[in-house]
Amino acid sequence: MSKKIETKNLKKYFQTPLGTLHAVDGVSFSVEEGQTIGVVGESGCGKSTLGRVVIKLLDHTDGEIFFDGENITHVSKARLRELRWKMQMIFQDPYASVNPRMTVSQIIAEPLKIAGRLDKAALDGRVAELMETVGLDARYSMTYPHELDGGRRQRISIARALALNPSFIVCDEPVSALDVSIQAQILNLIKDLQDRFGTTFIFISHNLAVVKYISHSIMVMYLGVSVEQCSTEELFKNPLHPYTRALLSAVPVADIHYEKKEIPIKGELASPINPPEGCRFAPRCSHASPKCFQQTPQSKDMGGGHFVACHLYT
Amino acid sequence: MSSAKKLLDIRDLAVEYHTDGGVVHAVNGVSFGLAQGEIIGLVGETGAGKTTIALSIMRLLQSPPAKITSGEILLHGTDILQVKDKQMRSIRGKQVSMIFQDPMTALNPLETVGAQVEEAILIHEKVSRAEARQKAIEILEMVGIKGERFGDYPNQFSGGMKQRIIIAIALSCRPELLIADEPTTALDVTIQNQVLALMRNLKNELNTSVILITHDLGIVAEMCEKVAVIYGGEIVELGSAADIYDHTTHPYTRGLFTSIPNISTTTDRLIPIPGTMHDPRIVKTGCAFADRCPSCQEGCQVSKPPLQEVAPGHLVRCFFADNFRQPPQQQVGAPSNGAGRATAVER
Amino acid sequence: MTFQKNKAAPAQKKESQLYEIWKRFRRSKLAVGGLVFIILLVLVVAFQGVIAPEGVNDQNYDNMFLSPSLRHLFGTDQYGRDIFSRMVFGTKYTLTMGVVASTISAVIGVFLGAITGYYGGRMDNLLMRVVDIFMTLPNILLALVMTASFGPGFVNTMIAVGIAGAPAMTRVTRAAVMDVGSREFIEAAVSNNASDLRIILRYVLPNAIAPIIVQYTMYVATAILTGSSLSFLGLGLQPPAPEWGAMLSAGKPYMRDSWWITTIPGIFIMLVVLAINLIGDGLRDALDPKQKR
Repeated sequence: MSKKIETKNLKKYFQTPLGTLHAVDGVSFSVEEGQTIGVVGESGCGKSTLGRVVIKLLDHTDGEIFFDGENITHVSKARLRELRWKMQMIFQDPYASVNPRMTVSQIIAEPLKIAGRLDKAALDGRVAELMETVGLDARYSMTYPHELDGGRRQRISIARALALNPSFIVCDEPVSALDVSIQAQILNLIKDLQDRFGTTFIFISHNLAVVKYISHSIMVMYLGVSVEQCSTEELFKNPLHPYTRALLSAVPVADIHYEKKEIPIKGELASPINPPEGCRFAPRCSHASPKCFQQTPQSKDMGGGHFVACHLYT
Repeated sequence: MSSAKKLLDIRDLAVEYHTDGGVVHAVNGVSFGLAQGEIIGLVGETGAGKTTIALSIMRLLQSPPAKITSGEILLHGTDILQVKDKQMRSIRGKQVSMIFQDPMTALNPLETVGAQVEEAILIHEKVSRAEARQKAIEILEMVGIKGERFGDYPNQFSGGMKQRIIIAIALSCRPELLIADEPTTALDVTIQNQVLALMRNLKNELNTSVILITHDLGIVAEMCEKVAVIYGGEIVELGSAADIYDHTTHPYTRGLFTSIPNISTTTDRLIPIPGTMHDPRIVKTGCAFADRCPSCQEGCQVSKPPLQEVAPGHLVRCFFADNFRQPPQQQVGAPSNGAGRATAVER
Repeated sequence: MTFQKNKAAPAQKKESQLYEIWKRFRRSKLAVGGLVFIILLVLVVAFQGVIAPEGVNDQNYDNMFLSPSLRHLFGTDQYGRDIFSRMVFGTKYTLTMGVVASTISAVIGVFLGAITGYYGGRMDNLLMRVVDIFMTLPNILLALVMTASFGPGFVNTMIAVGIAGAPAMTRVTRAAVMDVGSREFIEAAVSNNASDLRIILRYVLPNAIAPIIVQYTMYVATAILTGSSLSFLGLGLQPPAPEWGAMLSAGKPYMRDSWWITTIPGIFIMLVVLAINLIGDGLRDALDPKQKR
């Protein structure tokens, strides 16, 4: 197996009237080919920005991005066009991510038309094939998205992303707007697609249970920083960072016999604008020591690829 | 347990929306009761009719297009669907309060939060402004907002704090019934946890009854004593939390459990409920869930199953409820039988 | 909550979006009334030769200043011309003015609005300040200055009125484009290598069309009014052309004794403007999907 995508110290800052917003602040991670990395964190932790920077929908501020071993941090326009055919994105809001003025088949055909690789007959065939792949009944091909429910719209989005056989897809909260029964259909679809095409995924979500189900490895983000990274199994068996632990303990479990280990977490998310030195989580952490407020902890391998950025483990 | 001091009793409630596209049958004959100090969870998906039920209790349905076609909502034995608007205004807030999903839009951005809590008290109670202010500070502190922030404006608070302020307003007159419509859906999990803990404490302190509307079975497991599972505007399963979680009976409820990934167990494959909910403009003669039901038999499409009692207090709307009721030992969440094929593709 | 998200099962009943808009438009009696009135005027233009009992400039000095009667429905003017006939022949000028001027304003405004709204940045900033300056001047003044420099005449007036409407159109388009531009399907199009032109034409504008149509319709009324005012001031169509504003102007000296010479064109200008504004209001409501109950 080889590394499909890798970032080194990736940063993305936004200039706002109030100061510099550190949306992504030095994130390094990698995904093996054909695997899924789950990126979890609460709103404002920079996970969506990270996804967009990785596939170059947003420009980065600093750091490096590698795709199939190639440094794509700075690429020409022509190369970027080629890369975009290999990297795709599935969005959160099924109501906003498809053009309401196009029919289902037009939406799915759009990337094929832009790439200009197929003639008309082949194009229609490919669209039909894609609809079948994502489980959309052929009778919907001439309908407009507003006539369809969220689940079917998300299938359109997935079919569009698959059109050019990308080898890498970023999913930004693809199921959080869907009802649970539909959510399971879409999650299974994404799993099946990976089995069939060997696609590599970054799966961004705030829902730990969903990430646990779909990912091979997980990165936990807090205020633009990766606080913990390891395999899915390891994270749930042996969470190290106090934030990860608190997050895990906060998830409501659909089992009345489940005994919750309450790990309280103080206060709320601080502002990502001009963050101070030190650990980002320190103000809410019950283990915080003076050191945590002075020194930013570095990510450290605790063995077996379990990375954690916390002074408790240094 | 509920017969002792029954606070709320909803009988055969039916609500329609008359739209350009036809008549939407949002709620079709829903009945349930709630005792004092009890928390009931209304669980269901988008369009199941949960919010419509809540708004009916508050008498906040917009009419037109909404129309309550049948039923009564008894609060302490009085049908609040029959009381005059003026009387309803005093019931709202004083006896029944509601909090909504989005904390960002429920507060007036131009007034301080203290003034908004104070106002809620002044409307319903004959107290002086100074007393109201004192009460407002007390109640804000009860939900964990420090008294010195009395004069701050909503934009100076974060989402979780705003939701707590809304809870404070809803509780300002110590209502007997609190309706919470997806109160934490817009919040992050760690904040959600804080808000849920707050609601639990308040319920214990004030003995408030709560109707908690949610799609999250995890929240229900943590919060509720009683659960009503709603599908297509009908209650398909009603019972104590133990009934619903340990003796899951209705195929829809079982489908919900097999659809959700769980952090405490490892699942190789989720078993989704196939298909999507039917168009609520169509009046179904048979079982509302029949089209998506993996155990659907011929008769299910023909006539509507009654809500039958399979165990004391455990009601299920399914012809085969007795066969489906699961023994307590069985691990919920694991596929017990052929309930739903493992397919991601719609039928 | 239930009723908004319910989409009909698509297979059984397919109504085009246009039909749905029409269904909502129909709900407003006033808007339909306005539409009927405008359609009647269009028919009048189509059959003007049949409808008008006399020629445009048939002067008859025996019949000067006749008050409205069955013979002369709207009376006659200072040259004994039948005002009804002149009104009929003048209808085309009024409608043409409205449509052509609005179209000119739309072509300029949509182009500038789409570019500034989509790209933003420094050019947007600069252009919007220019638009701001223009917006502080009343339309009529702007048109007046331009007609004065282009020289009088119907075509020049239309161009002037059209340009005068462009700033408002730019504003409306830009706001709509910015709104659409932040939606996720634009990002999706970018990640599929769609060119900027394709994104603007296939993604942005089709979704920003509603406010543009409304602005266009509303400006038809403004343009008619401005055009008539310019004619009234002697800068538009020149006599003896039966332009309504010019007719109103020409009747000015006789207003005291022969009120109908000025009042009839005045009433019709008002009615047309009112009708078009009603249509505009109706369209705005019909195009707003939130109106769907």
